[in-house]
Amino acid sequence: MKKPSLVISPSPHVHSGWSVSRLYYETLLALLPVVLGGIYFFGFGVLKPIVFAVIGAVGAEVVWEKAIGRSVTVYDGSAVVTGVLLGLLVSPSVPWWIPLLGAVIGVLVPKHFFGGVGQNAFSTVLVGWAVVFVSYKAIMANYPMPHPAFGMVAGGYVEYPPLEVLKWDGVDVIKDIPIKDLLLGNVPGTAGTTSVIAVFLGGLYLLLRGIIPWQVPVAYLGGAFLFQLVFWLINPARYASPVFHIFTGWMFLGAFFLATEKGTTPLKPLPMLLYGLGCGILTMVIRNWGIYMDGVPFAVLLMNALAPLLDRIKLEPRGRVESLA
Amino acid sequence: MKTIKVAKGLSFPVRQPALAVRKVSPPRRLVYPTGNRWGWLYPEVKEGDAVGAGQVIASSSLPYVPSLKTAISGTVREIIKLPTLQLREGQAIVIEAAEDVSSVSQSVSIGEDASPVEVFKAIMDAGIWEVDDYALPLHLRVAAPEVIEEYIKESGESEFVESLRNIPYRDRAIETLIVNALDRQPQSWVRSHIFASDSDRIVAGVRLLQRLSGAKQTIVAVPSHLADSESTKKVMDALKAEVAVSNGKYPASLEPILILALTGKEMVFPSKNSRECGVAVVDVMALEQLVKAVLESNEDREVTVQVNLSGRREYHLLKCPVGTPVLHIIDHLALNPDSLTKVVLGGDFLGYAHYDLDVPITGEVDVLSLWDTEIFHYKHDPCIRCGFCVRVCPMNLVPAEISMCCEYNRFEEAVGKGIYQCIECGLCSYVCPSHRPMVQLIRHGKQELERAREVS
Ligand code: SF4
Ligand code: SF4
Repeated sequence: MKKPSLVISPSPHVHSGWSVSRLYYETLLALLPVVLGGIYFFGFGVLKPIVFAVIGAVGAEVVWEKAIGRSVTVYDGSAVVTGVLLGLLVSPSVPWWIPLLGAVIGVLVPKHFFGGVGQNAFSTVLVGWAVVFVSYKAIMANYPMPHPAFGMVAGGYVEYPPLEVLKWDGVDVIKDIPIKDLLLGNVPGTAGTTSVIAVFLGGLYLLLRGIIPWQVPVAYLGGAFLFQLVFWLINPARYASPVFHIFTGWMFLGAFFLATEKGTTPLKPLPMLLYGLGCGILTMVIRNWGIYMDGVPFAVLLMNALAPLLDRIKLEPRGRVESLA
Repeated sequence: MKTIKVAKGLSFPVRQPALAVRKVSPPRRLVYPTGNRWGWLYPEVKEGDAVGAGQVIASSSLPYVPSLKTAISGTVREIIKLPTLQLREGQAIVIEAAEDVSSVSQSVSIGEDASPVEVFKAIMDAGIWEVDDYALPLHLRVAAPEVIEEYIKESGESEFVESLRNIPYRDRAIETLIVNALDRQPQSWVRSHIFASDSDRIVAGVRLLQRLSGAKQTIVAVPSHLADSESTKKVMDALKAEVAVSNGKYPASLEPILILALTGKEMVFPSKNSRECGVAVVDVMALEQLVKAVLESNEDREVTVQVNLSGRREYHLLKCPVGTPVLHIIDHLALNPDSLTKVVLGGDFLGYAHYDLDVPITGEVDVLSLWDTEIFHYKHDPCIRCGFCVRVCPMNLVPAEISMCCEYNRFEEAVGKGIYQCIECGLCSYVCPSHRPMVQLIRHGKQELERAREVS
């Protein structure tokens, strides 16, 4: 007795319930503590770049997909995540079109020119950020101070981000910055790059939900720490302590949110470890000897380029193949 | 007690509902497909013939396709077109019960002290179909090389004996016999039920196979909730067997994973012939069938099948004769066949979706899943390179890459990436957020490779 109404499909016949949109919406949830931390220390102004970046990212995606006749995928949330992350990296005091422009470029160039979500070889956030950073250096070098209520005053020992202080004023000055302020985020900088605890909370959520692999953040932070430890032990007068570096600037955001962007990381465990390690070491190389304030964005972009190469390291399948006559 | 450690895979919470076994009202009409995973059978009866319970109704000239026997006496109503469990186009023999036909047992019934060759012959005649995707049927998988040799000597020349000689790895000794009481997949409890309720038969069956194989080592794999059960103790004492306990990870129960976890030996692919590494796996469902057929000369050919009303989380354990059509079970459970959306034989992860309600329960089926709700659909969306599939693949493959190779017809490249080693457990598709039909793509790739091999 045939029943044409019965659905025929190959196994498996059940699914875990994961979907692309759930992946990105949960990532957004993980970004919530970062946004809230930003609002807490810097006021509601931090929402401004986020809003414009999201408008740019979502708008660019919709217009592009409509223009080339694809189905619109904006509801999967990936563009929103790009926008929020980018907004967290830009100071509220820059003009509104800066985050907007960055997001448009970030969504179009690395992602949609290469086929859409997950097809981006380079981080959408970082490409967008790097383009505006390089093009509008003066405007971008602009960081908000935490609310005066937290005890920081203009003209005090820090009025620009700790890494900038390190660059211009040397190792001795940063010793005065309490670790507690670094952890909480009570330092000048953009919302995504100040509060270590807020970023870690979000990152932990991603890890526990299995959205990001543990290998990348662990190797990233571990690699940066060990690398810096060596130099710090050799010459503490020239190199800042690894603890300072780990808890400063883009480090945590890079390890948990930027280096783990889907499409840009290797897929296999060992390559992921090497990728994280490379990110960590390059970050420290740029921070110690480079001209840029923070090494994270360029380190991650460089490792993005190497990811496919790393992924060629073979994962040995279990089982043997017999010679076929 | 050992623990069965599965690298990767996925843990599923075991929430085993209390299941009582019920007997299905005897069907008047039984359907016997003339093909199984090992090959095709040729009908030995024609329409209108009277057949007695236990009579062979289809057989093969090849030794690795177990024959087919009817569980009831009656008449051959018709021979219809019907897909096999694996959905290959084939035929089926339909038998209608009739009271005036007496049963004719054609089984070789043996005693517990039968010689290995007698055991070999008895199992061969019993025609045991199995659930798992074994390369060889039970008697050929388990028998020691001397036993097969002796049988060949006894039997004289024929096409049948000739192909017996060509069984790959026929000369390998079987060192380890693994008794598999692990449930095959999540939401399936048939094997643990049989192990817990029918340990006498399991002991008797394993004894026969120990004699047949000459294996020095016997390992019984049990799920963790039965680790301290009466049955485990009984089986352990009676058989002097080692017991290995599974921590509940899927797919611990699938042959290549189980062999690797218990013996450290990797199987060969694509043949998956366990003789090659000197191991034989047999599951408790097959053992129960075996003992009924060869020691008890029981021709009712009754199997235990679990029926999952998947949308409603309702589960039943039923006993019915081999050949009972799915429709009969649907009627028995008072379901409306028109309200069903999907019918799957063989479980949620490993089974085949069928469209013909005449397909029967055979020894190849452990779970029948019926849906009357909205169905989940896989689709050909692009991979977002999230790596979820790599994290779960028990064979350590990169399913994302293999499936992409298959999608773009780069089949030879897929071989290098391990397509043959894929055991089609389905975990990669299960976790994929892009809902990619990985197993479908991989199966397609394997078929294309097979075709290319046949052509060349
Ligand atoms: S590739 Fe094959 S073995 Fe690996 S998870 Fe997918 S179905 Fe299972
Ligand atoms: S789980 Fe799916 S989307 Fe993720 S890497 Fe594997 S195939 Fe790609």
